[in-house]
Amino acid sequence: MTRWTPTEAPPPHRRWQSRQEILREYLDSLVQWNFGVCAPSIMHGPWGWDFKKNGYAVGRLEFFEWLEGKAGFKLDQPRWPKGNGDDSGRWSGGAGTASPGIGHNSGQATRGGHHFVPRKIFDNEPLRPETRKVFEDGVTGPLRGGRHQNSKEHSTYNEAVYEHYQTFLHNKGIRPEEMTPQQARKLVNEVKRSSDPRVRDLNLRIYRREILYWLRRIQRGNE
Amino acid sequence: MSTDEDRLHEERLEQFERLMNLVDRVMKQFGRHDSLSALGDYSVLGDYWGYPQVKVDVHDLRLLDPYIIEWLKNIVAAFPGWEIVVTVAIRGHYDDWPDMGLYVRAHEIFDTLQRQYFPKEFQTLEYEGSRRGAEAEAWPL
Repeated sequence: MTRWTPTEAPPPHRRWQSRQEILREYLDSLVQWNFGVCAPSIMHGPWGWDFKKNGYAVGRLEFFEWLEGKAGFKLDQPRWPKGNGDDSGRWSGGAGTASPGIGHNSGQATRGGHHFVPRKIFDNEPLRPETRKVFEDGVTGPLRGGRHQNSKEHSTYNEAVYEHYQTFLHNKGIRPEEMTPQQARKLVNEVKRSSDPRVRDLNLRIYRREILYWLRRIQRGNE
Repeated sequence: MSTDEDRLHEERLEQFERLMNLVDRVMKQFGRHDSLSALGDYSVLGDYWGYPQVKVDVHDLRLLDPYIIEWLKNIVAAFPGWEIVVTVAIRGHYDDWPDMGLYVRAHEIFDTLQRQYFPKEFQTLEYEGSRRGAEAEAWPL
């Protein structure tokens, strides 16, 4: 009998890793779809993508709301009144309605986050103040886990929203200055639910990053 | 979440707003911002994502002029620990050009531009105090 001899060197020994490190490395290695397969409780819950209907499954909005709640976002939070410069209309972080000074800190992390209709692209639109406020408020809540690299995802997202906005105005037969807050709300919701991969993929990626961030925090908290 | 972390987040948010507005003010002098009415020459991301960064996508290679980048470097120098991510996002080349750009920091410009894709007149772009590398090397692990 011929004795079998290995033709390749055995793989080098890996250094010792804690369970948390292994999990973290594993989660980091997952792309969107296999993350959904390996962590179905997170991605394939009632809020997931419905492949048959090619749309978001019922309950996804509740998931957004859960995340927003996790991040400290509340719809009825007080906002800075008019006349507070760039802060007008933004969340005041529960700090009442006094003007925010330099170094203003309510102790609550309530501001910031991803605007579904990108903030800088509606900034110079001739919108009514109450309509603008709807776009201002259409955010995910504060984000913690997103580092930027030189990807073009924001540009493609902006372009998709731009096209969507143009189509929306055309279909309604209105000009930007005529857009009502109700119409703006409808537009924001359409962007949120959009199945356009340019929009959907970025939104999902943001939520995935935040979920990973919170998973890691929970892990760290349990250590 | 701990109060210290909340405080840091709020401080960074304030700094983000200031730096983002300054970056926009500089870029505005050289091009048009994307808007809902018309696509422009650049776009500053107005959302804070939890890291000390401001991101600007440029759709026109002329906005990579060393003079503009030096200006951005001078601005970010007043914000220790922050960086401006200048991404090349040329319309029509989203798919056939790889991700590339500049990480403008107070002490250096980390350059991941792949000039072989650019038209000839932009292939000689050079930045003083820059260090070239790949996207994956943009941050120490």
